Amino acid sequence: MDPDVVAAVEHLHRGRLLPDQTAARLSRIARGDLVSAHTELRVALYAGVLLLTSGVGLLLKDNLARLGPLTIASAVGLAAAACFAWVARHAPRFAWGETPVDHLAFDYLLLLGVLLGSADLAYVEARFTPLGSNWPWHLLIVALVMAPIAARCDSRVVFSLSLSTFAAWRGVSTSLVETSLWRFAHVTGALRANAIGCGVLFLLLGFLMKQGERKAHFEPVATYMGWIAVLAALVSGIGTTTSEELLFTFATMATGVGVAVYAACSRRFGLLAIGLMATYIAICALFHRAQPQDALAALWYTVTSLALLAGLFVAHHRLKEPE
Amino acid sequence: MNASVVRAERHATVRRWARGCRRERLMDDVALVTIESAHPDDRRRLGPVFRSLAFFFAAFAITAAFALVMLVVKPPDSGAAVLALILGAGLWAATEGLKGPLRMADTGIEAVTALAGAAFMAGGSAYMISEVLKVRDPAGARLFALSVVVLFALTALRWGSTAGALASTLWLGLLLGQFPQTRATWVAAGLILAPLALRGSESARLAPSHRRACGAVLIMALAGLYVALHIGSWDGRILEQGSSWLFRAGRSAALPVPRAFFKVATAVVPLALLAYAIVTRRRLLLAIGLALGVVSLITLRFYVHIADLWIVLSAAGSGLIVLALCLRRWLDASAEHERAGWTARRLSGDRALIQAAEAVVTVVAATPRATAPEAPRFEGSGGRSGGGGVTSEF
Repeated sequence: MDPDVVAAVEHLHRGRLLPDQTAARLSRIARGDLVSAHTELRVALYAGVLLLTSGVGLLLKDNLARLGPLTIASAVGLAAAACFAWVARHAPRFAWGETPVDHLAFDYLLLLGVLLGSADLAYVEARFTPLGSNWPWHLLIVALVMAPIAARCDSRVVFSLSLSTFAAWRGVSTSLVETSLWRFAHVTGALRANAIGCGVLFLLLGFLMKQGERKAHFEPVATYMGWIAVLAALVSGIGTTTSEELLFTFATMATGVGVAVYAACSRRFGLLAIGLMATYIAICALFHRAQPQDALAALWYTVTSLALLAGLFVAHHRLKEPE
Repeated sequence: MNASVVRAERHATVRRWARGCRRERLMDDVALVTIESAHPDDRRRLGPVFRSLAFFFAAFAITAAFALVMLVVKPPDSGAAVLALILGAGLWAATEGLKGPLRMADTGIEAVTALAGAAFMAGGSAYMISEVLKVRDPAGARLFALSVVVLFALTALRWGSTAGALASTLWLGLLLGQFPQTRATWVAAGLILAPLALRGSESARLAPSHRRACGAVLIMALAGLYVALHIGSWDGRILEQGSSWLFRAGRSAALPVPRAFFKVATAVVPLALLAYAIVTRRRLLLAIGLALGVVSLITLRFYVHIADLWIVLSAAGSGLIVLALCLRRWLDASAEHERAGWTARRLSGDRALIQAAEAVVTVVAATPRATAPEAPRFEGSGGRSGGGGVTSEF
């Protein structure tokens, strides 16, 4: 119950500013006489999908000898097929634009089918090795199968999974982001190049989707994942000693500024934050190349943080991010 | 909290709610404009992304400024404590200025200054208690815990800080752990605080931020009550021993209650909460009850070996999916798509935000393990990759 909203609705209704029917319904919601369990049901479905796929993951790992590989592969495949059959029955007509589905369970049973299907494929590949020494290619196959499913069923979640699986095929995982931002551990040149390559490919894909108006609402997924991959790869190369690290520092700075400017122009506030953080990390790395004393470093962080705060208010005054 | 801040908070609450209703097409544009013009906003606010950045950089600036003063002045311990107290008081004065004359709200900065002010003063008070007042443990630890409770409670009372309310209640629990019969004290505190906080979280007299702070206290009080009645915490004597390792105080005596009582309580507390939440239509209590229910089920699995883990996980996942689908169908099947005041339809909330969160969690949790980018080799024992989050070796 929200007493402020109750009072506001009653005040507006008394002043004849809200129609009777609207006021009655809004008043019921505000008083807590009508409560939605929509979010709780979604969370339950999503948690159910994650628990079930974790259980299946353990089944594939631990029960090979007891149940036999063919039984396991068939059972998981059947479960995935059942999910896809349900999805096919409830899927809306295909369109290149957004096609929202009313059924609460649609997104989750689709995700369950995709996860079970990809787990089954991975299991079959590992057990029967049809691809032989090219076993990592099954990740590419999974990614390429997921993409049309995502487009057909208009699922951003499956599209994200398709992109991240493609990146996993090239050796890029979410651990790269963690490594670059927090651990500053050694990242190999090949991995960095793969991350940049994946990032550029995702950005190109997003651009084409938007320009061609082919699932244009998926474009933010590709663009965000693309820039995160590129910037994480560049940040992972930053250091304060070698000339190669200096090169990465300048590349990060230039890319970060570019992303921030582009994001500000297109009013993409999440992207703006990513660009700003990358730029700030690069500038600070550059500052630390001069091996400043501790007090000077503390002064640097105080002044730059305050300057950034002021800059944020100026930027917000111009851009007006919605609350 | 002064009247203009309270009025601004009330207006912001109504505006935000109206926008949520408009998104769900529960009202038209005319009604939205009418509500927004009747509840004008006179505050400087930032959107969620700018607010997060402002919070981060403000916290960074305050920490760096304190480090700078310490490095330049190089004060002795007593000087550092005095500096911390002065900085804390200065930050609280800044919070007053930001929320008052500068009319800032939801910028992230005023939240940082209020919390950092309390933290610095708590740090300074720790030194003062042990070195100036010469109060030794356990009395010193109790006094320090009490000072933290009071300082963070002040941030909640003066500026409606939810984080302050959380921290204050947490430290109240630690403080109560310093006295005999910790478990009984926690149960009593939970039983007293929870109804008070519940009433506060819905009180029309309180400002919206104070209501949210009461909600935070409610969560902590019920969590504390559950911990005190939980079979695992009883078997491990967690509360009885916890006080001794935290503040080097003496061990608290165990309650003369049979073990069966805690077994029953572990099952009954979440169920009772769920039943009360469903009957009285309170979503916060429903969420707490569900979370505690999950903990109780995990506890059951820990104590009773029902089946292999994969069976438990698969059954729990399937059960959750089936239960959610049945509930949705049952709620939606009635004439008005509602039963006893509950509906499965969306009434407000940001759908895009939920979808984005689901996408992030799915990518992090369910993406197959990456293959090595250089010279991939076949592994005779089976691949290390897998779909659907499967990363095991076969």
